[in-house]
Amino acid sequence: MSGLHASANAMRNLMQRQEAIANNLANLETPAFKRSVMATHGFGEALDETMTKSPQSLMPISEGGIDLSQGPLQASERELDLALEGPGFFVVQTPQGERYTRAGNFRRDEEGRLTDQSGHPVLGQGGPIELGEGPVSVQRDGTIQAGDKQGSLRLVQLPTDSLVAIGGNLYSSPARPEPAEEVSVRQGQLERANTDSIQELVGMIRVQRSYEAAGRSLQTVLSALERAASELR
Amino acid sequence: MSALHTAGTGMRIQQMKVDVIANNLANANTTGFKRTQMDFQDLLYQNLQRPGLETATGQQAPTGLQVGSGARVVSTTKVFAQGGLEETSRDLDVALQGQGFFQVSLPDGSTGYTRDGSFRMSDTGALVTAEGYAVSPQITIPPNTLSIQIGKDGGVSVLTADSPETATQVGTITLARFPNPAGLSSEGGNLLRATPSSGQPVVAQPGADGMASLVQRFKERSNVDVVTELVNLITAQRAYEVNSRAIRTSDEMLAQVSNLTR
Repeated sequence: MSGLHASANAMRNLMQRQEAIANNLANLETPAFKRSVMATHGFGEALDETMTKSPQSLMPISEGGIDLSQGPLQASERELDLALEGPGFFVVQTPQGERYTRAGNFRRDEEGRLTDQSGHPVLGQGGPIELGEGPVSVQRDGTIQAGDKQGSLRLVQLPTDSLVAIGGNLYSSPARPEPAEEVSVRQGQLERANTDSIQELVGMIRVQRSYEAAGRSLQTVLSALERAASELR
Repeated sequence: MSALHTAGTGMRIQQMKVDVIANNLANANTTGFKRTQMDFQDLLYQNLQRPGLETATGQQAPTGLQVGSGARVVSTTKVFAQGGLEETSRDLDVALQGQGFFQVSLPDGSTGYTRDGSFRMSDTGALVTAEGYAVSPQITIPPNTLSIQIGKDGGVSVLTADSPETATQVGTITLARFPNPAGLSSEGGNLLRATPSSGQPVVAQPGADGMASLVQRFKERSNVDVVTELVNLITAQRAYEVNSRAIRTSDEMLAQVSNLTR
């Protein structure tokens, strides 16, 4: 009977991986999108575990994580497009509290504040960044000079494991943010998604084949059970 | 199951991207046209397992398990980068070099904004846009004018048959600038309108106070770069393909499930 559950579990996990891959591909154009990775508990490994371990521990467990590797930078002609190079995040103020993002396609709201695309103010060292009239220049260290106003972007670092994607290019984290040190800001550039479509396609093919294999083994167990049931009659 | 919808959102945004690229390309020769850029966001995530929870084997899961549900277009914005200047040798072609917009009076009494400075004269001698909207503040060219000079600072002066030697100033073109030009709404006909998010216009003389200066007998070309748009078109097509591939694969996986029980 445990073979039945193991196969079904493997199929469920593979379907989740397929969903993660579909999400990575849907976000090919999302700035600074970080692909999600599912730990490679392939069917082969699940099978190995089934053979060597006690039935209680044989359920393959999916683990998901965020691949925080740097996305490629792309030049844009907008002065409020900021890309981060190196590990770190911008901080934005949402109604739910501080949230973190690497998507630097910012804009100016009607009050002259720097906000993200959803209108959340981007935080500097002393609260929201205010932009004065005129051209904006942003230095590598996050110093902003806009007309008669100056500010400095708050750039933070967070433990990778603590990050939870919440959509809208934002992350939340229960951990306390530390000032980011190895990060620099590039004005007039955007960080692209770090999804590589070839890699995802290869992953998708692998998922599909493992899914087929798991389905077949499920079928084998099912027919064995069927035979056993008919022998009992 | 949600993989189908997720990949569907991916196809939908690529479709919209192609629409925007097509509009940019169609306006590659429109005077004063500013290309549109799209911004994308990821959608909500489903938290299957929070990071730090205890797993079945008693260990702490080092990472959580989150599955996203696709992407969406969050906004389209005009990129107000300067377009190239092209000489036309028409007296009433005026290009803007720098930030700012010409103001025109619309029939409903409101003010429209444009970077298209290929002006005409109306039957009364008023300076109007190609669509016939009067430039604001209104400038009237006398009927017996021999030549028109428009200065960098917006001053319009004419030589008339009555005084062919000394120029007479007939008006000054002023420009408007917005705190957030990306918040202007495009109305077609090369016109833009102010919105609450663009902020209040600041009106000033050309060349002063960070405002654009005028260049007579030139027009501003569209800032669409055809090569860049074509490259974007190809990447959009490929992204569309991989997303449709994801739909097909998910569909095949689901078909297999329904084949399990016969």
